[in-house]
Amino acid sequence: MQRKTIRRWAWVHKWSSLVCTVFMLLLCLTGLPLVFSDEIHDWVGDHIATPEIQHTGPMASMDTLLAAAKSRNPGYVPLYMFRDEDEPLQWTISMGKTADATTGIRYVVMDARTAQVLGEPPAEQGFMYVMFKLHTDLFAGLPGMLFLGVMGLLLVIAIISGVVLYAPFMHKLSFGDIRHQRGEKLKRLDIHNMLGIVTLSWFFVVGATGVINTWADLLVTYWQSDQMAQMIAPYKNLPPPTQFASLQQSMDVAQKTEPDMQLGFIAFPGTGYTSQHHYGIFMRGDTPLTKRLFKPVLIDAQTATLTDSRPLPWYLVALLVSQPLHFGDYGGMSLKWIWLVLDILSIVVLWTGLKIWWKKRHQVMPAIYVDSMAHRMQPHQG
Amino acid sequence: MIRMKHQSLTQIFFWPAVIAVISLAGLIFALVYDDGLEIVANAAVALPVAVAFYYYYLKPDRQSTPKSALKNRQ
Repeated sequence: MQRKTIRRWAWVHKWSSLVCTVFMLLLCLTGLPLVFSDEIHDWVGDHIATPEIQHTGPMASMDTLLAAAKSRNPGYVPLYMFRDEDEPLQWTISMGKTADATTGIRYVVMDARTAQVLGEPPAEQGFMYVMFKLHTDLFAGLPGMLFLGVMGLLLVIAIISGVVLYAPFMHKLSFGDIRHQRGEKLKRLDIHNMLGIVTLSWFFVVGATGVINTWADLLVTYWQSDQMAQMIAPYKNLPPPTQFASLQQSMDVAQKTEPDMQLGFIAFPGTGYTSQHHYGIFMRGDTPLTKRLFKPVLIDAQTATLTDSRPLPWYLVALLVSQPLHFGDYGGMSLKWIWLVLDILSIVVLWTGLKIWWKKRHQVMPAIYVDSMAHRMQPHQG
Repeated sequence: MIRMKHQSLTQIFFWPAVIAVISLAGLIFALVYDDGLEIVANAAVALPVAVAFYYYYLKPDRQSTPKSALKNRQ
């Protein structure tokens, strides 16, 4: 690597890092509580427990559950029905003023056995909501999300350029050397390099999957115009239904269509994951990986008959697989703690990087980047 | 390409590559396997933490490190 090449990589590393560092610090800090989202909800008493009762009969009908949710929120329409993995005996129905509502959402949590309403947790408020919004879109909706995606891409570039620059720094040092006794500057640089290189895979994976997550809305929109449009083509010019068939019956048809899968969530007619004419019943597998991969079964919402069912396209599979790799919620509590520590180490990498730049900012090209090592390397001759 | 006086690129990147591959494998294995292998996978993901802890707190400062040009430039 020649002096000129090092200068170029140093320029790339400096500017890609500088532009994104403040946002990355924000994301790392807001990500800390989000890793423990479930536990924090438990801790502050937001968690709705399932009552311990003797129940031997069948589960409550989906229609009974839906009716219970509707009776709590007159004038609202159901959006999605889903359940927490940790609470298999609960169903939650989200409701909005209209099927395409993104704000003013209400939640009704019910006992899956008795359809008893267990709680109506407040939405769009509280500490965790603020953390979540700052982490995902800076309270700016899709533009905010895409902006953070661009910052994430800069982080990926900063990581790659950091790996390239690692070599010229380390040719006289052993792996992991930290020069504690040689002053703050060198110590800070060594910490930045050592932590940066050991957390490489994790930071890269979390950064890259975070970028993919920022495209979620765009990917779903594309899927709607692509596969969803093909599946619902016969309904294109029909007026929206006014009478709806039984949800339980629709669910039974979906289960019969995919007998080896189980219900993941239901998208009600008019929401983003289905059409105005269909219950979008999303089935999933039960292995650690396939339980994250859904297969949509579109059931005609007026007749409760099957319209179509197709596996998700590769880009939505990529999105769904990338999500746990970003959240760190797939390996139990121990992985969450590891995520926390790695997150803190990443904050140290960002902070030390920022301080290295700050101390050297008046230099045209920090000696620390170039002069110190370039003369020691000779371009390979032949 | 670089020809270095002391450490080659292979030497410089050997341990970082080993750690990167192990922690990446851990990230993916934890996604695919539950049960017993999950502990192994989580340990692999935690490897960078252990390495960082060792080099920062446990490994003595190498006073014998050759005076680097970095130092000379300060």
